[in-house]
Amino acid sequence: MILRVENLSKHYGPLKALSNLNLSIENGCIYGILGPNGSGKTTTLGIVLGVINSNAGTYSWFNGETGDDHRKRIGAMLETPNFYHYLSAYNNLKIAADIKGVSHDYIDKVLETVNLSSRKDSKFSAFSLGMKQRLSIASALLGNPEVLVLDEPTNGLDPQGIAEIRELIITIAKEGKTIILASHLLDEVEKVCTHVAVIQKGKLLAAGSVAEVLSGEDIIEVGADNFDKLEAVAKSYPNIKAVRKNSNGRLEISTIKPITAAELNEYFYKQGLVISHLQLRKKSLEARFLELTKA
Amino acid sequence: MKKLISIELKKILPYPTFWILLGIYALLLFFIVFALHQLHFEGVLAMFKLQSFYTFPDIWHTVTYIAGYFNLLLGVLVIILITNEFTFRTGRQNIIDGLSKMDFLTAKLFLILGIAVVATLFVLIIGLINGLSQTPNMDSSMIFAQIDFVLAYFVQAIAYLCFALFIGTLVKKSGLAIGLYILYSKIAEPLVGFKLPSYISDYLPFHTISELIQNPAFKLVGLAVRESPLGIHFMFALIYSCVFAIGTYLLIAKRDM
Repeated sequence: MILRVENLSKHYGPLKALSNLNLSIENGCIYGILGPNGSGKTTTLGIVLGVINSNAGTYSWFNGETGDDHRKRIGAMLETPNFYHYLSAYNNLKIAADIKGVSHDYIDKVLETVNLSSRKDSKFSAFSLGMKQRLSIASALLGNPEVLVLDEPTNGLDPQGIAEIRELIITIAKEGKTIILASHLLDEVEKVCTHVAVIQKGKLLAAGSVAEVLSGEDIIEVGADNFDKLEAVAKSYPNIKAVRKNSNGRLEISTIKPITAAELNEYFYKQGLVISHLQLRKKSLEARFLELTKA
Repeated sequence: MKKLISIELKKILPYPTFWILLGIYALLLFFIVFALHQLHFEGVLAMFKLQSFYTFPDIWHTVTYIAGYFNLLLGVLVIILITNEFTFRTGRQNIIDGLSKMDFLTAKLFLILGIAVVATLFVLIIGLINGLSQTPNMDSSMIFAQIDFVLAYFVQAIAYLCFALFIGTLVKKSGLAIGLYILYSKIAEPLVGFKLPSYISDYLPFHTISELIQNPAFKLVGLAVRESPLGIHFMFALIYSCVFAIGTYLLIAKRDM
């Protein structure tokens, strides 16, 4: 167990930022914390990284460690890149390396990894947002930590930068490290993560493997002149999970086990029903996400 | 401990503002001590002979009193250094990277200690230069007779800087903190002190810390001036330093970074 969070709560005045959040993150997974802006992702990470005080609840790293020293084994960036603006990239990383108690030999290596070697002597204040973001990832990589915590690591990057960072995360994960990634981008979590927790307004909505939580189920949209009969026949189908009339006056059918449109068409035909419209649709991840975060 | 000091040095040594403020402190102190010596009063004021203020052992009182005015600059420096940690959220990153909040505060107390040591050494050097060049027929006992003023200055600087650390941590913004620092020390506390009975007002933080070294010019007009600075004000300066340090820790510990 890398991180266990139990009943974590935090409020800012009357605003509840987190209520009774529970998470358990296992060794070696890429764990996405997915939620819209303001859902409590950064608050959660801030608490487990020791910079935000919770109002209730506990957390422990590495099978039960509390206190301060375990953070030296975690590479983390939270929200914005935080560096001394008057220091060069290299000198900024020297400070981070000293705090973590790791050798300065790592600095050139991590700058190489994020493609900043050529700018290592430039002042932080002269960096573009993308470079700042990459420097904070470099800083998180110092000392080859067992766990990486990345809060919206692709924020403010151009499409190429985003692709590079995602590539980097996947490469690092292949080395067997645990990565905790907070993101409001469903697409990012789906592309990168193995596990996900969906949070909304500080509450945990779902947690588990990405396949479980975000799996899109198939929907078949059917239309017929005689809608009532269509509905009755559809409900009699043995494999049926749900039927619903949509705004086009057609019926949306979801099944327990996947079926093909042809199988369904054959069934209707045998029941003496002529179908005027038949379409198989994958339920989009966005729809699933919106469904999870609705209400 | 060595690690915390080394980290703190990596933060401040390449910082231009650090050198500029220390430089202004040193230059102003150096020139003002010399300039005052050049003053010559004529007529009825000719009785005010400044010469005696520049010989051992009185030079220690003179130079530490003048240096006390420039503690303000050192306070501004400490405010800038601590508020930077909040403005740029580097303090937050330090904690994330593995410092405890206690480590963070300890490093800042070392910083204060370091600045106070540097300032005190500078005062010592200026005192020696003036004393050695102005004192006729001196012996070593004269040189060090009132050296306790230098110790008093060291404690005074620490107390001012601890207050600066506290204010900087409290408001987190450098401009606001510097404004408050000056407003409190030069206006608010003297005004409040004016309304209070002296057994209270004498022991308000800024009053008691500045009273550590009284104005030596009072001697010119025949007023009594404490010849040793190591009395009750010295003790109060130490107590206030601890209070501000503990207050700073409580702010850091209770607040979200």
